Formats: sequence, structure tokens, C-alpha cells
Amino acid sequence: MSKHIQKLIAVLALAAGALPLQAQAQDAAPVKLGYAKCAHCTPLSLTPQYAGEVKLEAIGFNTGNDVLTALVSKSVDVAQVTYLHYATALDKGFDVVAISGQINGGSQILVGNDLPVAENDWDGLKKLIAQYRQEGKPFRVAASRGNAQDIHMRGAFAKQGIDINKDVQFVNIPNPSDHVQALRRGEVELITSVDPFATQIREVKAAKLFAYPYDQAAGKLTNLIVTRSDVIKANPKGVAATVASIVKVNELMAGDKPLFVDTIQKVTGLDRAIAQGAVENLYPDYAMHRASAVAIAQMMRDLKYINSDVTEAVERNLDYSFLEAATGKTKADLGY
Amino acid sequence: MRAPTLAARAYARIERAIVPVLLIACWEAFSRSGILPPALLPAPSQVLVAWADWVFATDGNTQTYSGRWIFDTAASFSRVMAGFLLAGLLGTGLGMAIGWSRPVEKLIEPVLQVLRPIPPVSWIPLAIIWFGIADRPAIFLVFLGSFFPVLLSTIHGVKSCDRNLLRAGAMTGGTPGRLLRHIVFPAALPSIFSGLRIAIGSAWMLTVTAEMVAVKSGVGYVLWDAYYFLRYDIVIASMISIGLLGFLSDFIIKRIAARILRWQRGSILQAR
Amino acid sequence: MTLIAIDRVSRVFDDPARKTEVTALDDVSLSVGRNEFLCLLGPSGCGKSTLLNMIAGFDHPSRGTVSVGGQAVGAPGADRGVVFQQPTLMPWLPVWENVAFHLLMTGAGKAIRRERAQRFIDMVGLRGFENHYPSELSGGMNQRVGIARALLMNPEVILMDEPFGALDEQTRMDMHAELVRIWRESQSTIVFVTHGIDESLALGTHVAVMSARPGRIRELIPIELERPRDPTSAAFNDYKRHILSLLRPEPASCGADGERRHGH
Repeated sequence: MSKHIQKLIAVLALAAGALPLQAQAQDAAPVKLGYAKCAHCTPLSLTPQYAGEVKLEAIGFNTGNDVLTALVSKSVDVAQVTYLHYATALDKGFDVVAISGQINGGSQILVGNDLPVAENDWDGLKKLIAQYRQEGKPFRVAASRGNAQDIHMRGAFAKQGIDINKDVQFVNIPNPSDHVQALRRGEVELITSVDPFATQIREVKAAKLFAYPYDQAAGKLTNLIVTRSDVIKANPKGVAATVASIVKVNELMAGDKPLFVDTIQKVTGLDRAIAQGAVENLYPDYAMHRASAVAIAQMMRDLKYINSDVTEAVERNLDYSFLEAATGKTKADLGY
Repeated sequence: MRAPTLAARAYARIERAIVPVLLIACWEAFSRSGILPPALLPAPSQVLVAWADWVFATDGNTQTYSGRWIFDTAASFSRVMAGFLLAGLLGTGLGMAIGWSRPVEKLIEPVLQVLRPIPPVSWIPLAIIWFGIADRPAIFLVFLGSFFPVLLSTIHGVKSCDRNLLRAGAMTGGTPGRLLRHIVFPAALPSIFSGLRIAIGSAWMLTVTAEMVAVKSGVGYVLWDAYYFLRYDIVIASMISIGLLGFLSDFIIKRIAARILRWQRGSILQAR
Repeated sequence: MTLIAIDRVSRVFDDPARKTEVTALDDVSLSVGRNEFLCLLGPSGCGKSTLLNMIAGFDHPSRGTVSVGGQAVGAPGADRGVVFQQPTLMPWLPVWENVAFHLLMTGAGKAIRRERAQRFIDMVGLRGFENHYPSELSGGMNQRVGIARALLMNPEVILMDEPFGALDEQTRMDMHAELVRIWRESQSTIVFVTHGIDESLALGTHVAVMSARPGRIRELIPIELERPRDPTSAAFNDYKRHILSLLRPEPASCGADGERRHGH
């Protein structure tokens, strides 16, 4: 019995010791920032250094989904997710507030090396698809369903008049690290992949670049920083410091490409050539683009990824106050 | 002896259901209370609605999965069956060889003992490289999880075969081949069946992991896909589906075993 | 005419853990003529089961030879049927399949097996129980199935290792009568291991009295009694007294000087 009591006392003592930290919440409390381990998100690992007196802890997760789950279950305070997660969360009635952009781009449409299409030749691609159709072969396109690249691809295809559901066969490869195998074995004809995997695939010559899928309503939009309203209420200074730190890091990355490459290398362990290639396709951008966000939400609705029309919620939950404070710019300049 | 009262009889009917019903009721109350956002822990009623649509396409609330339950179930089931049957055949065959022949045991067993502790999940990267994306890595994973229980229980069954039975068989003029087929194998069957039951449980448990990787259909795939879209009601419906399918498979094996092993039950008649 | 010849057989077991040897049989010689009923009688540990196993082919002598029909015994075979101490039936097979097991081992078809089995099931008095499983029958009934199984092979030699040990007195007496009847009908040669003096006298044409540690044959006694044998008759008891005198000094190291060593 006494062993249990000892344990209980130890736990209580620990909890009691933690209380004083909570008591100084009036000033900025520590902030936990969750981010996904992908090449574009790596700059976030630098944010703790630029947070001033606020204690900012950056925690890595495997996927954007996991980060979002951590946010809504209150394990982290601020989360780096994508515009798509933002729309999905609002659709499910979660309490999320967008406070900053982070980075965009990172998508590439790749095709098998032997496929007879030239770069950016959409007409050629459409002819090829029709040809496959005639020969009765499925033209297989793949992406990680539900990720930003999936949306980019569908939008781009739709703009070019290709119907993903009817004209081609969509294959879902959930894990981006499996994309290179699929192309190597010839299991698909076309993949829209995410950096750094996309650049890596090209480096190892498993496929060639077809186009960047940015010519559509969603543009290049990818990452978005969100938090909960209760966090903003309890710790406005902490949130402000976080946004300021993100802005600072973004400026650093935008201005100093080699630093960006270094960061990617350090965090992901990829070799220099790939990191450099990836950086070319990444666009640090702390603005939050309202119109495109709405377009993304509508596209998701059309694709049946979400149930309801969240346009209003999307617009309402964009909180520019922290960006304005950190950059001195107005809403209009920040993408509203 | 007094006959049980009406109340006692009624209680006996429902007593098994009391705790599960209570748990479900608590769950429903907790979900509606709003302590967690409702989308994170959907109430049982919500899970049921999603499940109904998944199976019967009632109102389209599961969107792309609407009405596809039977296809997803069939897809998972076929993978599990393929991996399980392969594991059953190979495990039984190899197990009999190892249990019966010392030279074979000395040759092969060390390798198997080294491979056994490696968790099936850690084979995923290799499985993808070797088998590509599609059904085959999933079947391979299910095979890995099912193989060792069958192998070990077969070896055990063969080794614990009563030596006297083998003597009796030799006495009646049996060659080693016939002894193996007519004595060792039937004697090992009870053990083999218990291995098979463990294996099928393992197989279904691995289905979720296996379908996480590059398959495009199946109950486990739906689970992960629904997670991507934060549809926890479908996630739970999928979990329950897998549990049910596992239960059903085990039940079938139990019935087959009872049929084949019916000689094990026996009441003793008195001589004269 | 000698059917079974046991010539100066010794069996020594190694005990590697204790680095000792146990001599189960020491220079045993015996011959069994055709159509004889030999009982191997002795206390526990005198090697009688070991001797039987060597005739059966389950074990081999360390020294000396065991031959049946002029040929040295190699592996077990259908020419020497064995009835074990425990019935040793295949529990997953019904009675008739167990009885016909020899035919299954030689690849005969189902119809033939069923038909042949029926004869022997009737012979041991188990008609009506053909489709029962061993777990549904009593020990005595299962033992009869074991006997039927051995008989079906129509072996030259039937070896029985205390087959009636687990039965009650009454059943045992019935089984004795059955066994003698079967022996006469089938004209086979039987070697029967027992530790019961009455049993050996009730059954055997010869009784080999053995002594323990090491196992030796003290005397081979031909039994000249009319059948059915009356255990209350004077002649019966003369034999019994003689055998008792042979068995009393235990363990028999040398000579029969009647000295009691362990007060058994």
C-alpha cells in the first residue's frame, strides 16, 4: 500500500511544482507550436529562436492531420496545417482561427520518363489521355488524396478541361514516400507529388516534370497557421509573439535561400541537391489569401471532401490582427 | 426446489447485456455533453447513422463511401483470407517437417526463431519495395502475422504426439510416411486449430496496418481515409466492422474445428 | 518347432546424467515354440516389458540376438501384433477404424476395412459399438478393441504387455476365457507379460519366472493343467507354491538361499 501512496505523493508534488508556472500566465505563457515534418514546414523549427521572451516550443508531427488533431484535442496551442485542413476543421464545427500564412508551393506534376509528352504541353496530355481511352487502357493519375497536391492537381486538370473522375483513373497513394516506387514500377502514368519527394523523384530520374499545378483557383496556396479562440483569449501575447516569429523566419528564408536549403538539410537529412531543388518550388508567404481560401473550400465541397458550405466561416475566422501588429501592414496588403 | 421467480428469470435473460448497454449509454451522454468537440468523439447514434449510410447508402452522409461497405468488406476479407490460407498451408507443412525430423529442425528452426520477434509492421518498407503498391504487400503482412502462430502450434502438436500411438502404428505395419499422414497429423490437429484461431485474430489486427499502405479499398483503408477528413464517426464504424469480421472468422474456424475434432467430446459408457 | 528364439540377450541402459548404467536384462535365453502361450512373470523392474519390446522390435538388445521365424528382429511389423498396457487406440477414429488400422496402413479401401473389422469386433464381443469413439467406451472395452486390432493382422506372434492390468477381477476372468478361446481358434503364438501369478497359471502353457535387477530368467516352467483351469485345485496350487518360492528372495543376486534382504 505505502508504495502507491508514495507514488501519489510524488505525482501531486510534481503537479504542485508546475502550478507556479501557470500563475505567471498574465504575461505571455509558453506556446506549443505543432508542425508537420515536410520540407516547406522546416523553417518553423527555427521559430523558437525568434520568439523574444515568449517560450515557444516547436513540436514535429508526421502529418498535417496529426497536427490538427493535436490542436483540437488541446495538446498544442498553435498548429501549422494547410488551407484544406482549415476548411475541413470548419466543416466539422471545430473552433479554429487562422492567424498567419507560412509558405506556398511545393507541388509538382510528374510523369513517367517514357511518356510522350513535353513539359507544359497540356494539349499533348489531353491527346494522350484520349489515346489511352481508345486503346482501352486506363490512364492512371495518382496523388495523396486530401492533401494540398491532390487539390492543386484537380483544380489544374479541371481548368484544362480534364475530368479526373471520368477521363482518367485516380489512384490514391497516401504516403508520399511511396510515390517514387509507383513511378519506377510503372504502376501509374502521372503523379502530383509534394516537395521534397517530388524533387527527389526527379533527381533519381524516376520521372520527369510535366508542369506546376498552380494555374487554378487555389493558386499556390499550401500552408496556414491556425489556433483556437480560447488560446487567443488566454494568451494573446503568446500568440502575437508566435506570429511575429513566423513572420521573421519567413523573411529570413525568403531573403537568404542558402539558409533555407541548410535548414531543410538539417531537419530532413536530405542531400543538398534535393534541398536546393525543393527550395526553388517553395514560396515563403505569410499573407492569408481570403479569396483563394474560399475557392479552395468550394472546390473541396464540389469534390465531396467536405459536406457543407463553409465560405462564411472561412472568411469570418481569418484573424489578421496579429499579422497587422507584426508587420505594420493592413489587411488589404495581407491578402484580404 | 422452488422454481425461479419471474424476476429472476427476466434478470437471467438480460444480465449479459447490462454492462454493454450501460457503457454505450454513458458514451452517448459523454459525447453529447460537449466536453470534447462532437466531431472528435461522435456519439453512438452518430456512428450508427454513418454506418447505415456506409452499408445501405441511406442519406449519402459518408459521401464517397456511401453504400460501399460490402465492397470494402469483401476487399479486406479477400486479403485476409489470402494471407491467412497461405500462412496456414505453409505453417502447417513446415511445422510438420520441423516437428517430425530432427535434421530439418536443426537446419531451419534457427532462422525462423530469429525472424519471429520482428514485428510485422516493421516489414512495411521492404514489402513495398518487393511487392509494389496494391494488394500484395497487404497480403504479405497478413501472412507474416499469421504464419508464426500456426507454425509453432503445429510443431508443438507434432512433438507432443503420443509415442505409444506411433508404436501402435509401427506395429500395424505403417511406413513413416503413412504414420505421418494417419497418426501424427490427426494427433496434431487440436493444436493446429488453436494456432489457426490465434492466427486469424492476428490477421485481422494487421489488416488495419496493412491497408494503411497503398491499397485503395478495404475496411482499414476507409479507416485511414476517414481520419484524413476528420470523420471520426466513420473511423469508429470501421473499427467495429473489423472487430465483427474478426469475430465472424474466428467463429467459423471454431465451428470447423468442432466438426473435425468431434471425437474429443465423449461420454464414458460403462462396460456391460 | 521354435518360433521365437532369444539367445543370450542383455540390455544395458545408460544414464548419462548420473554416469551410471542400469542392466535391465542380463544374459537371458529363451525359446518359444509355435502355438505356445508363454507368460513372462516377475516383479516390477525385472525386464519383462523390455524383453517383450525387443521381440516387438521397439527396442534392440545390447548383446545377443532376438529372432522370430529364424530371422533377426529389425523393425516392428505386422507379423508381431502388440497389445499395449494402455489401449493405445487412435482417439479420432471410431472402433471399426481402429480395429482395421493395419489395413489402412497397407492402403486397403474403405469397404474391405469395414468388412474385415466387423469379424474381429464380433470376436471380442463388441458388436454394436463399431461407430463409437474410444472416449465413449470404458477401459476394458477399449482394451478389447486393442486385442481385435492385433488379431486382425493375423500375426504369427501376439505380444501382450499386462493388457488386463486396469480391469476388475470379474472382467479379467471373462477376458481370460475370451483370450484362450481366441488363441485356440487363431492358432497363434502368444507371449504374455504379467506380474500376477494366478493370471500366468490361468493362461499359459509355459511360465517363465523372472527375477529383478538384473533381469534374469529363474526358471521356465511348462504348465500341464487341463483347461479350463481351476484356481482352487491342488495341482494349480502346487505350481503356485513353486513359483512363490522362486519369487520370494528379492532382489535375486545369486542362488536361492531364501535370505530376505528387503523384507518385501
